[in-house]
Amino acid sequence: MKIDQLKKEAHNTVKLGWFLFLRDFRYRFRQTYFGYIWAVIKPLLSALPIIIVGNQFDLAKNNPLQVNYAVFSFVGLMLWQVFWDSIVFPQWMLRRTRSILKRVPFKYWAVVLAGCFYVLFNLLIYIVLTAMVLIIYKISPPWTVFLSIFALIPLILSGLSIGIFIAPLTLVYLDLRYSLPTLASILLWSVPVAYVTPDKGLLSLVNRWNPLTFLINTPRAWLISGFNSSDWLFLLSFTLFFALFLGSVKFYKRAMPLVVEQIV
Amino acid sequence: MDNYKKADPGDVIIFDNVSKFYSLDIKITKRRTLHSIFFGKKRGWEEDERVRYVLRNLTFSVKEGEKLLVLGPSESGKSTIAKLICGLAYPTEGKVTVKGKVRYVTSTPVASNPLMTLNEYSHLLAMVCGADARHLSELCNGILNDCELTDMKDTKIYDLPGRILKELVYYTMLYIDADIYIFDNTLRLDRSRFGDLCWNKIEKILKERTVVILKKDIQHLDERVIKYLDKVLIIEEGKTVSFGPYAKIFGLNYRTNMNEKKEDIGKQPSYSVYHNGNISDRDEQQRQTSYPVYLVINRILREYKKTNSKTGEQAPSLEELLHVNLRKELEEILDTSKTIVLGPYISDVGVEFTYWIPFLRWLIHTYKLDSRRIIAISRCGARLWYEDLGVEYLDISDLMDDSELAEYFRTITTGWNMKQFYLTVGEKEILKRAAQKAKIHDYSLIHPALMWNLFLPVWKRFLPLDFIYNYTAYEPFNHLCWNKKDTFGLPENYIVVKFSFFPYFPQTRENLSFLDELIRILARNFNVVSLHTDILVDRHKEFNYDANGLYEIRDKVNYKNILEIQTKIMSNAALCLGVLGNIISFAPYLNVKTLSIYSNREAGTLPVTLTLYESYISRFFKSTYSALDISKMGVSDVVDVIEKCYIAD
Repeated sequence: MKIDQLKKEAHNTVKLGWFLFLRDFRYRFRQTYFGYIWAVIKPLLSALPIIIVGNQFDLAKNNPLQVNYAVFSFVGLMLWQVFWDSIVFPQWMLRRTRSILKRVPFKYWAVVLAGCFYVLFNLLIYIVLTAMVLIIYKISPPWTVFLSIFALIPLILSGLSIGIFIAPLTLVYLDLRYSLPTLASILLWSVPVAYVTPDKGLLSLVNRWNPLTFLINTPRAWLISGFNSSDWLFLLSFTLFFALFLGSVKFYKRAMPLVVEQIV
Repeated sequence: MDNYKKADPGDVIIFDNVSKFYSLDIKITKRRTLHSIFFGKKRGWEEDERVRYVLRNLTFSVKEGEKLLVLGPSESGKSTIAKLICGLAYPTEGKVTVKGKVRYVTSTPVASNPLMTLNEYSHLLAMVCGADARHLSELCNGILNDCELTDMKDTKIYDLPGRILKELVYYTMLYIDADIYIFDNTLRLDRSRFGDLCWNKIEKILKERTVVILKKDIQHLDERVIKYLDKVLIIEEGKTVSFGPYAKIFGLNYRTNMNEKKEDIGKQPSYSVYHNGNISDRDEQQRQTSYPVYLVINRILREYKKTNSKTGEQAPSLEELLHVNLRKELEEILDTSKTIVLGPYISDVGVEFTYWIPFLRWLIHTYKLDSRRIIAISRCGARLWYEDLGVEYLDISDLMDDSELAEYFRTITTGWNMKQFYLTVGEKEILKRAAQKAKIHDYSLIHPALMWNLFLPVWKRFLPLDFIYNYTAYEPFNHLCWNKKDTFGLPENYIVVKFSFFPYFPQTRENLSFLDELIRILARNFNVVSLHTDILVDRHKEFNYDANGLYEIRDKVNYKNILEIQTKIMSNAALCLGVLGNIISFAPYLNVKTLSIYSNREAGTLPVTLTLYESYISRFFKSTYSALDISKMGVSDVVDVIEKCYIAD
């Protein structure tokens, strides 16, 4: 009986999250001239300058995957984008639904789920775009490509571990929201997304101690070339993020009733 | 009240010593919130921290299926209670326990998006309200069908009138099941098709679920709802004034009376049972009346004194506080397309035309009210005064038989105080009968308490007289229309006299002998019409003089027409002579010369009212108004003044 009740509750929460996502999604694209094309154009436009500049300076010289720089950086950027979306969308949705939150008692988790639907929608586009890039550059992925798709789940959970943590805070304090664009570029360049980790120097140190490095590098390798000797670090990094995720879930549960009152 | 540590297992809402305060320092609020978010516990007071208490040590409980009515003036903490129950706020101290799914009923469109279709929005709204996703489509179809919106389900919200959206939201809130329903001033019970539709749902909810109704006062609460109420919590400034069973709090078994009424409509309860003018005892008054509105002014005055003493010049002025309070009240009352009922006015005659009617005129002009949908209720034939405002008029005498009317006036005029600082149960009965007579089911009420509370600080000399000018519109009663040839058998030229006793003209031996002599001299020299009758309209005693040589009107008047007859007689007079505060002071409004007398200028409200007449109202009238201090004049001096006035006419 209790399990049935829990299942029903979970189903209702997911459905509510879906409706909240649809509400926001429609509003987002129905007001534009190009409509849903923007969903495709945006990741392309954000990746293009990095690819051009990186190509010019040969940032991926001697990359271990032995592929064209455009493929190397584009796949890395798409993976990075999945991670970043998972950070941004929970707080984005929370802010978009704050008028509901302060007026009606309802399930707070539905808002996070609505953010997850955004992440999944973008993920579909990234997968299609990545597949197109692989076809254009005539790269045939190894069988580990399936692992790379599964690796997206830990990547999303890792992003959510930060996203869920900062979401309630951005409802009350805009500091984090204002600092997100800056944080994005700092985090992006702290991870070897569009370049190869140098052998020495500060950047080398940052890359090697940054758990995000392995969350991006390993799935990219699985997609393009196959297994790598440092794949276990992917699991270690994910374990760290999973612990953070559990902590964030607890934090979100405790913080939401407190911040709802402070919403203006 | 005992703590609820040993809570009854049947309790679904428990407030255990709950306090809620907000820090007035935004920096401290930020720090406290951040601390609570991270460490999950509240910080104590900070040094020199100033806080605003919203709720203080509130303890009550509601059992499953019970209906609780929470009464309290604006800013008394009602909405905070609702938010605490809903989980939209958390207590600063104490504990709130709520068992079950809570529905905060509102008609404000939540989660709407103008680009969604009505069907899409209906689905989202239903989910927000906690509908079961497995039956969502059927549920939404049912809601749209009941609201007769099926044809519009594919229309974008942007293209729909706001009313439709509000109705959809409200009905969805009622339609989808919850364990506890909160109506924060949102009971919709109008007699429209949609109102009936909602009532069917509300009635079901009232029968089967736990309900909390939050209202400012009980006067607008429908009888259909009242009969379901189990408990009442009256709060004032966040503190419990009273909590207990409905019947105990209001001191009468309303339900029994309601049932009697249904069984025998003609057998109406006696007013003396319902009405008690005594407000000297706070508990007694609460039992006998609906929500004590007069507390509002006490609260404002207290708040004013408190803030003024603390922050000096930075504190909001009393005028500002009263103004904000009035605007709030009026916004709540007037934001409807319902019939507006003014009254019932049953208090002092002088206050009625000096303050109440000018206040109503200001209200009608300021808020551009359609006078065709206004009904004023007063008594004793004040019809002409209200018809001058262009509104419809209902007299209390039309609502009672003669014996009941006489009993009613005997009760209210012999009571300790008949000032209308709150709506009494007797007045509520009058309103009920008026609604039946006028065939109106739902109306907005502007009760004289609004004016009494607003002007009290001026009468108590907390505020200058100018304050009253902001909320009144004085005009001569030019529109009075009747057959002026109706002379009531009186001579062509006459002086009207009527003397009543007020604090500034007390019933002393000197004053009585002064009046005796004055009347005798006047009766010898002029045609004098006495407006004195045995009918007591308000509580001011009249001078009972020897009527020899005077024209009398006793045989012409009764409770139904006394004010009308007196008004007509005064309008044809050459001069009216009396005491400020009784009907004589209406003469200037009729452009009739008026002389009033007093013996103690500083007593009661005379300084205020006299200044109002002499320096403000008089500029609107063609005739003259004079007041004579008889403590400094002999009878012959007064007669000289009267002669001069009379001859000048």
